[in-house]
Amino acid sequence: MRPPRHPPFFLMLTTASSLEATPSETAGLGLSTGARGLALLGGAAVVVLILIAVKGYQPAAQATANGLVAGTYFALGAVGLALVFGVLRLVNFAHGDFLTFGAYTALLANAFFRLPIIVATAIAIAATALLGAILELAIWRPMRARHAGGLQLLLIAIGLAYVIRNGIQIVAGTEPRSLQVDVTSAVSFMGGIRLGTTELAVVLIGLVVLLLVAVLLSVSRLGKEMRALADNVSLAEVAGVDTGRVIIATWLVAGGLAGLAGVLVAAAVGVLTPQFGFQLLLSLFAATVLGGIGNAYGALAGGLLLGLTQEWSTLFIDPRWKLAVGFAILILTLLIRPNGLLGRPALK
Amino acid sequence: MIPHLIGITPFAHADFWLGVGIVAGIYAIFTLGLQLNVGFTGIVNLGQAGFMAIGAYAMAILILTYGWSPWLALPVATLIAMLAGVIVAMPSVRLRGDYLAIATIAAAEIVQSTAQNAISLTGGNNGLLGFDAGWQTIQVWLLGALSTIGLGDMDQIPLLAVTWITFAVLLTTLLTLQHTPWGRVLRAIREDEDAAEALGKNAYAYKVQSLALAAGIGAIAGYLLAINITLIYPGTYSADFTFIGFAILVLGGLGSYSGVALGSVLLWFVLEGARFLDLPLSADKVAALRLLIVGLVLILVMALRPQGILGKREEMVLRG
Amino acid sequence: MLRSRLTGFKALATALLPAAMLVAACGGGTTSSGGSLNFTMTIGDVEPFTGDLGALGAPADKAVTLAVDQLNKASKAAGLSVTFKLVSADSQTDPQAALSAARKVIDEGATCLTGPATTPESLAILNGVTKARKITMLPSATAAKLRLTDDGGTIFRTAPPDNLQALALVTAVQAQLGSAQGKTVSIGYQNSPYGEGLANTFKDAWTKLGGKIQGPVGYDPTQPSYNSEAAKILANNPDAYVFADFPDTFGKVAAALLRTGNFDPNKLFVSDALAVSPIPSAIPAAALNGAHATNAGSPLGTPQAADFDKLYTSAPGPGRFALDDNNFDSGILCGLAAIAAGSNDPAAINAQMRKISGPTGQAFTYTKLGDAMKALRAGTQIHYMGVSGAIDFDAKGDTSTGTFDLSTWKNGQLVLDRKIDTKP
Repeated sequence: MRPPRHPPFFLMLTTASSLEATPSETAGLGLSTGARGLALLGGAAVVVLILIAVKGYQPAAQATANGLVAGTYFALGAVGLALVFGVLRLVNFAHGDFLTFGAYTALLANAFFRLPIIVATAIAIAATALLGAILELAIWRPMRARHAGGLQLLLIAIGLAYVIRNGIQIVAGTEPRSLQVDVTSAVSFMGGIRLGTTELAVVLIGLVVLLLVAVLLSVSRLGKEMRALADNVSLAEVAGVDTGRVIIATWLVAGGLAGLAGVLVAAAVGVLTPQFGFQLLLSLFAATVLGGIGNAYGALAGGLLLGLTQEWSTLFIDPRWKLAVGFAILILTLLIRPNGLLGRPALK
Repeated sequence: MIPHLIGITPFAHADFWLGVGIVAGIYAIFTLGLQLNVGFTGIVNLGQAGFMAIGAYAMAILILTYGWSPWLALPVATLIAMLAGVIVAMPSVRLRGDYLAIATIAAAEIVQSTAQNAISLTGGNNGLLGFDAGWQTIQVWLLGALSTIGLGDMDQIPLLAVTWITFAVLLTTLLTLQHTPWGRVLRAIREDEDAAEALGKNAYAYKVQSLALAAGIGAIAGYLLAINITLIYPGTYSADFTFIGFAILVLGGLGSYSGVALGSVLLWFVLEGARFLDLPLSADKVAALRLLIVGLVLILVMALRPQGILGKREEMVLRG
Repeated sequence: MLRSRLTGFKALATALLPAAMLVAACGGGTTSSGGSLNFTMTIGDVEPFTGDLGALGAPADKAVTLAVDQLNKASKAAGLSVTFKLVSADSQTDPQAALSAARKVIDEGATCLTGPATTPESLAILNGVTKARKITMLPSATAAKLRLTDDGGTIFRTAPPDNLQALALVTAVQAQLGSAQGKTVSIGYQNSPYGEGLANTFKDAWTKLGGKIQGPVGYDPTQPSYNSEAAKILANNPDAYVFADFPDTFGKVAAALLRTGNFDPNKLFVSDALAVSPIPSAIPAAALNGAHATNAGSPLGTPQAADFDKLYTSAPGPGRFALDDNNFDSGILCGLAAIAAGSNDPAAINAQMRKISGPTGQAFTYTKLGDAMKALRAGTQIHYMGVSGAIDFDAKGDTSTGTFDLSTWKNGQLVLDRKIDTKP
């Protein structure tokens, strides 16, 4: 029997090798990821110029800066989700709660054990990476060994999300909490743009880390092995890739990034509740898909685009609509580019 | 005064469990639509809650704003929801499975946001009230009939009966459809789209029809939900509703319409039964523990009986 | 029959009418006054412990738990054999779950409900179960819209309805600005039933006085960044800002407001839901020090409010939070109404609710609860003075006290400026 052309379940995409790129998709948009990334940057710059012309420098520049802040949050959260999806074809519904876990771990270290925020962040990254690896060994590996189907894994991930979120609530309570970070001081730059110092730090750290991760994944041996696995598990195994090790590494990287994202976002936003990561989850999905599933650069581009369009929209319409604007942009993008901004037409 | 019945007697929590029965029935109807899409057509529709919202809001707005009779508003609202299904399906069923799933969820989020923010049309955060006058009349009449057999104070029985009769009617319709040529083509598309196309079947059109039909079924669930809580409120139609629908779908078994009923009853039995956890902890911790246990049960059931209750194992397994 | 609408609140009428009601009720109603009572009363607490407003549940439930403790101690002190029991259930910030939660506590014997927190949840419970059974519900939802539905006299609210709260805010802002005429107030609100309701009520009241409104700007509790909203709220340097929000979301918005560099806390006015003292740790103190709050029923500085603060903060669990004092009062009122009714029957409890809330009769605070119970059994009319202030339920069941505390945060604590009367 031939595999179905449109696999009904997320996970079945491993079998989607028959999903062939149509000639128009490869020929017309056969640019490299880098070139498309540059094209996106250029497009964003044009939009900024238009906005400045229409709305004046300060409002347009401020909205762009706000969009970069929100976009960095989304990108940071989305990249781990995209990695796990790319390598394992797993839609990790518990990913938002990974962020919450990281943030609460940092809170424990920072607010209760009075450790400096840098040390607390390192602990959070390590703890969330470990959580990812432990769950791989305890749940995902045995389930894969039993040839679990896509929906089944999806449901397990949803169950896991409930367990993590409510586990945190049992331990930490529902009281809104804050990391020991200055969320109120701000700096002005570039002629009247104002951002919080923590926000600025988070944007800089976030973008550097995300670019670093994306570059490392494209040049390192681990990155190549991950891609090999993403494209074809059996072929990768035949080629001598230690799939078990690569998958653990994927979880460590994705978990660590989720932990980092949780701490950075919670630090910059200022308030942390057990719902924190889950409330971000749908936006993270949107960012992942917007950029093109399974692509670290894509998560970066998707997150930034989502944040920027949401904040730009507030220049024209009531900000209450900005969540809807984000999802509308997603749908429009998929209509024009069915594989997202930087996604490859098919997984080969 | 009837003294409060303490301890385990058959009627100790009758009212509570009748309420759970209604909710289970509403979710079962909702999930029938998902079964049609996911189990029988192979499209992952994560936006079902949005179609439910469109149906419920359309019904209430037609009745309240335009003064329509419920008997006219209900079918028209169902058609509106189906039209929304077509509009969402036309561009998105061409997408790859996972992108389609996210596109439908995005559409549902836009619907929910519109319900919350288009205040003059939808009542905003306060929602809509008073659309159920017609139902109240029917309910009073049914309760009168029930009181002649001594069940007059079981005021949830009318809605419980209507909900499950609706489910039975829809179930029968879908089971019948399954054995029509139309149903066989759907099945063929889910198994092997290329082969179906090779036989001259327009898979695209069938997928759009499948999503539209599911949207109509979602709308019907929406009416019953609105009647049960007596209001239409944006927060009710969140993505969580669809996620619970998926849990029911997989618990009951993919590719089994009747499994949907079992899955829904089982899930809601666990979800609501867990309210009776009695532990020396503060109420917020007990509430969290309840949902934690629900998550654990979901994980365990999926690990131990991956095909669900009535599903066949091959439906869930990686193919190829 | 007795639900004549008390809209005028003329002093004489308010003084006489409840007394007349009491006479009417005592004539045919309550059992052997003075006799010992023997029953168990179950109070049901339905709160959001999970979901978007999950932060509200734990403090509310802690407050009701403390109320039940106080009731049990008082019952013993008064020599009554009445035991009070609390059952709680999670409304999940969702009307469907709220209905299930209410059915659960009612099936477990609850004859009086405290909570839930939002209007949609309250409506689902009202129409689904409590109205038909005459079970009193004391939600902390404040929307005026809740009163558009016929509740059969079962809904009582210790937190002020939006229209009163808005009047208090209008009076406070007006006093600071001299007059409303031509003055611009910028409104920010949480895009939820509570925020939307209060924001629009304030908007209407302010524009009626000739004032101008900027916004209202709504924001979602789930969004990660509030910078654009903060900038919009503070644009054009408005004369004052009013926020309708709860502490968890406001903490994020407050940080964004401060980051703009244009925020002046002296211009900020907030309602009961944010009037928490000391400032919750999730809200940057710089956003509230110097800001003003209106608090219904004039609780600040009363001995019972100070006692409650000690009672609450010394008990384990969450710190002070929005409307915890209102929930405490709701719990006490349930218990006192049952003592007054001399039974655990929901309808009998319901019939006593308005009478014991004041304003006439012998006043008691929760610290003298045992005496209040004795007085009730002796057939005396009592008037429960809440820790959230005077309650004085009107014909609709809303707190009718026109007196609000206007206070300012100084060094993290709310300090009373003066009392304002919202009565015309």
